[in-house]
Formats: sequence, structure tokens, C-alpha cells
Amino acid sequence: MPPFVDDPVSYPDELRLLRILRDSNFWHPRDAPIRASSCAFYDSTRENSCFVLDWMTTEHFRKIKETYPDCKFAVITAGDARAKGYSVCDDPSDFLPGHVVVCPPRDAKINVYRKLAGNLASCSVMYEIHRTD
Amino acid sequence: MSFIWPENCARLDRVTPDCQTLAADSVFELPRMVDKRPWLAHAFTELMQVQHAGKLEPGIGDFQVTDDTLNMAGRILGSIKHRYLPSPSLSALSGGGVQITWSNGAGAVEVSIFPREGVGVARLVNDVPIKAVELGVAEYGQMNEFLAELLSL
Repeated sequence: MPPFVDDPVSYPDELRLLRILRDSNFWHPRDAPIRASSCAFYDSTRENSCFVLDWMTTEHFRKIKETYPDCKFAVITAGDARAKGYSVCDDPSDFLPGHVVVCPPRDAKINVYRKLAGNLASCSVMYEIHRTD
Repeated sequence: MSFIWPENCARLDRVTPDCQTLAADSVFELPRMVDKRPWLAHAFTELMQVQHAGKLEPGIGDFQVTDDTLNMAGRILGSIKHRYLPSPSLSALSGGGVQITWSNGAGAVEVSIFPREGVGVARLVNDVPIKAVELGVAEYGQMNEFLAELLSL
């Protein structure tokens, strides 16, 4: 595991980060979602994958839609994540450009992490793809 | 057509009616009710499905659930003493964890099993965690308290 460190220079507070929500377990409410569910940022490796929204093109969204036809997106800002105690760390990925991991404090116990994840989800805004042409 | 297949051999008929081998071998015991919690069988079925469906999802996380995590989730389910509960929903957490959730209206109790790390239980109202604790090894009493509170038992 790389030593993830917060990178406010590459990922300033105003940068919007997108997390792919695979299915209805990850949004709330399930029938008319308005935000990510409180477990959407509760990765048990403590490395929540996100992408920099401004670096995404139509082609990237098409790839996401082909891979995850039923997905939706939660968008937070890097500043939201930092304000809730998370770090925004560089983590290049083959899947799409602009991949970062949003990590809670390393020493946070599970109960603390659970509440942090709920707090971060409450800042999120939901989006979904209707067309990619 | 051959008549010398093993199943056609006379030795297969050498079974004495008073033979007690079936009763003595636990594998062949007669079926009987092994648990009185109606929700438990459903939960175990869902748990197996969670492991079966888990895979690496690029850009989201790794949803593969190991046998150790599965066994831990099974032990937790087995430790719940309440007979009548709603059927829980089970899902894999990104990173290979398992989440078990009981919902009742706006309230919910959620148990999270983190691989190689521990177990957390949280009480949620409208999807907001209002109480969260970490459970020690085999100290699942608090989970039963959360469930009793959820169902006003």
C-alpha cells in the first residue's frame, strides 16, 4: 500500500471529486436519491476511490456507463473531505484519469470512521448519466 | 450393453434390514429443525450470494469477500439472540467487508465486518449514524441491545 498523503497542491479544496455509486446500497433514499448513503464512503480498506470531475470527458462517462449501467455519482469537493477529516491523495489508476483516494485518519477506529463516513456522505450531491452522445 | 457395472453387482444387495449405520453416522441423520430464528436462513443465503457476486470493480473498489470475513459474518449472525427480526439486507463493502443491516421505518442497525480489523455496529436514523461502537472479539451483547432498541423490545 503506498503511503497516502494529503495533496492540497494537486487537489485544492475547490476541486470537485466524483465517486461512482454502483447500486442502491450506496445512495439515499433508495427510491428517490438525493445524496450518497452514509456507507458510500465507508470503504473497509479506508481508501475511497474518487475521480476529479473536471478531468472527465464524455468518453470517460461512456466508459463508466458501459461498465456500470445502473450507477449514479456522488460529488463532493476536496474541501468537504478535508473539513470532515479526510485526506485527498493521489493514486493513479488504469481505469480513468484523475483517480484519487479519499482517506480517513489512519488511526480512526471503526466507530469513528463510521460517523466520519456519514458526515462526508451528507455533503454529497447526486448526479446520474442520461446520455453520453 | 454391459451387465457388469458396479451397480449391477450382487454385493450391493448385501444390506441387512437391522443395520444401524445410518442412525450412527451424523451425515445421514434425519432432517430436523436446527434453528428457531426465521430470518436466519434467509440471512445466510444472502451472505453466500454476497460472496459469490463479489468482484473487483475498477474505479469503485474490491468487493471480493474472503472466507474468513464470511465466517466472521456467519458467527455474528449466529450470536443474535432475538428470534423475531426483519430479514436483514446484506451487502459487500468496498474493500472486502460485509455489511448487515436491519431496518425498521426510518431507523436501522448496521453491523460492519472489516477484514482483519474488527466489527462495528451503528444505530442510524434516516441514514445518519447517531451511535456507533466497535465490538471486541466475541463481545456481541451490545449488538443485541441495539437490535432490541430498534424494535422497541
